Amino acid sequence: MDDTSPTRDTTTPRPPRGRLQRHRLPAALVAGALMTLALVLTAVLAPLLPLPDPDTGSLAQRLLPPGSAGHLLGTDGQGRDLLSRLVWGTQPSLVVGFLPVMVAGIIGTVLGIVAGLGGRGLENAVMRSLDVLFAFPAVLLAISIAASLGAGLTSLIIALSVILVPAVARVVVTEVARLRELDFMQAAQASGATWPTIALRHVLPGIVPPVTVYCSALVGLSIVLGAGLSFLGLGVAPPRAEWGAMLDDVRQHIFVAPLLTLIPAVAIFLASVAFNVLGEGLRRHFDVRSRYTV
Amino acid sequence: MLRFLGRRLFLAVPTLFGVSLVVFVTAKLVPGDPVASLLGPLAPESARRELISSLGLDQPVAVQFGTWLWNLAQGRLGTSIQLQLPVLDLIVPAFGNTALLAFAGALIAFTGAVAMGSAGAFTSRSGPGRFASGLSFLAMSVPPYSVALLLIVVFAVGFPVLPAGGMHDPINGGGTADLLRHLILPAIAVAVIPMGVIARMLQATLAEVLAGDHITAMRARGLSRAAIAGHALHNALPSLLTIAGLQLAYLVGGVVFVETIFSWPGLGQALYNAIASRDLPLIQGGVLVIAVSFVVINIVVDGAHALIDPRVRR
Repeated sequence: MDDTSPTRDTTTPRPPRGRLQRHRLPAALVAGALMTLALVLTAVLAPLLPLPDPDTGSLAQRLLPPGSAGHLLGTDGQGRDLLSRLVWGTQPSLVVGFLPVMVAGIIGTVLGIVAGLGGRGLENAVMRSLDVLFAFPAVLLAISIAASLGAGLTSLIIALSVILVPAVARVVVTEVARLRELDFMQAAQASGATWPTIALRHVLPGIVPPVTVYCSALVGLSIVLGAGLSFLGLGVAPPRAEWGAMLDDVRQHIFVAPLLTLIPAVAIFLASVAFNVLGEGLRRHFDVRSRYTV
Repeated sequence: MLRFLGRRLFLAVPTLFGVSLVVFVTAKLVPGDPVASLLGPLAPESARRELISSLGLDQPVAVQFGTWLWNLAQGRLGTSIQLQLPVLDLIVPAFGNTALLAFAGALIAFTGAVAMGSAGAFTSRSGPGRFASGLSFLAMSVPPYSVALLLIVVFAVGFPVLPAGGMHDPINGGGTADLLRHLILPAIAVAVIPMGVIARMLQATLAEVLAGDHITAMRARGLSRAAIAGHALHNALPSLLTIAGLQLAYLVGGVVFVETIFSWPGLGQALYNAIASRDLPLIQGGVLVIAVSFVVINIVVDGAHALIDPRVRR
């Protein structure tokens, strides 16, 4: 964003310069960013770590408790090392967290801008269609889409993208409606700017910060739902390590090895907390009002 | 009030139409040839053609949708491929069980949320307030299936005080007390996320109300803390109700995971089994019934909102 951009100080209230220079970031932002960084590093470095093969195990060594020699977190029902599967499972879980949010972020932003700038008729058409999607509990809609497309990472990502679009679009429409009332927008319209110009030069810079903040909090939700769908057998195909599929494996043995069940359950919970804390930190830092629910 | 409800019901018609369209379209997306999967690859061409016309698959898609809607309007949801029973007969008893679980979950979520949200708002700068605030944040982030498994590990395996699944004890089951024992853990599991979200919303709303002039005036006139809290909660009630209504949707979503884990014989478990056997009519029927009941819940919530807050009745 260049300094002549009129949206600079009217749309996103920023903290005073001095605060930024003294690096007084909200504690939640720092904590969230660190946890996210740890997750990303784990996913990227998995091939380099000295871990046993996550996909093969020996049945003689199945369901070893956490702390066993050579298997720090124990082994699953097929004797595969749980720590290794947990580490290798980070990558698909992060993909399932980020990709649908990015897809939904882009589609939702386009839809929201079109609805927000396109006049009453278009706005009604888009919003009523979104209302239909809102009429489904998100999990159920994701389940029915993923079940129709067949199990697999791609259909999982498509299903999650579809259910996140209405949430993003609704936030964008609200933000565009707020911008529309501001002086610079009316000046742009009065000076005869075409609507693509208005959309790209004046609206987009104004809505990217709040939408990004909102989307960052959706990543945690996307991870939880994605792992949940894999848990139901709609996600990543076995034997590939993925947290939801791991959970499904170890829960079969919950009465024999109850502690093992908690390992993937806690991993998914921590990833969800990481992105929710990051979202909360970003929200506080950029002072975006917390008026949106998912 | 009647006019408000009438308009609200009228507005629900296009939504319900859209809902059935979405369910119909997702079924059409299924890759593969449904006829081939029903008859097998060696079926003669004449049998193929006969089945195609008896299923109406040779009609234009718009006509197929119309036929499907007409059947829906008469309560015909098709036949389950796996169980060879009418989908409606499978869904009705499951719906009752899910409604029971959802009701218990909503009760826990609402009670817990009011306690946590008020503690967070009324004692925002002290230990208990901060604790409640952090707790609601964690509750909002925790996956329902993680809670369900944790509850089983602790209360059914570690300290076996409650049953790990099912709805009745198979040996000397039956009776309300037995049902309640089976209901506690799954109800807590579905309640946790909505409880966290409602608590955080309530806390934010209460903080706004507490900053208002009328609260300052009450303080100046020496009203007790409890009296002020009562007034503030009354002010926060309409938005609390709206959020709670919306949250029922998440609760119903979480039901799929929780029912699967606890073997609760409801719609969620029926859906899980239908997914496992690719029983599409049953999936469609289950999703449709839940979506429709969700639309109905929203109308009821709006009606209750209008009863409490006359400003909504415009």
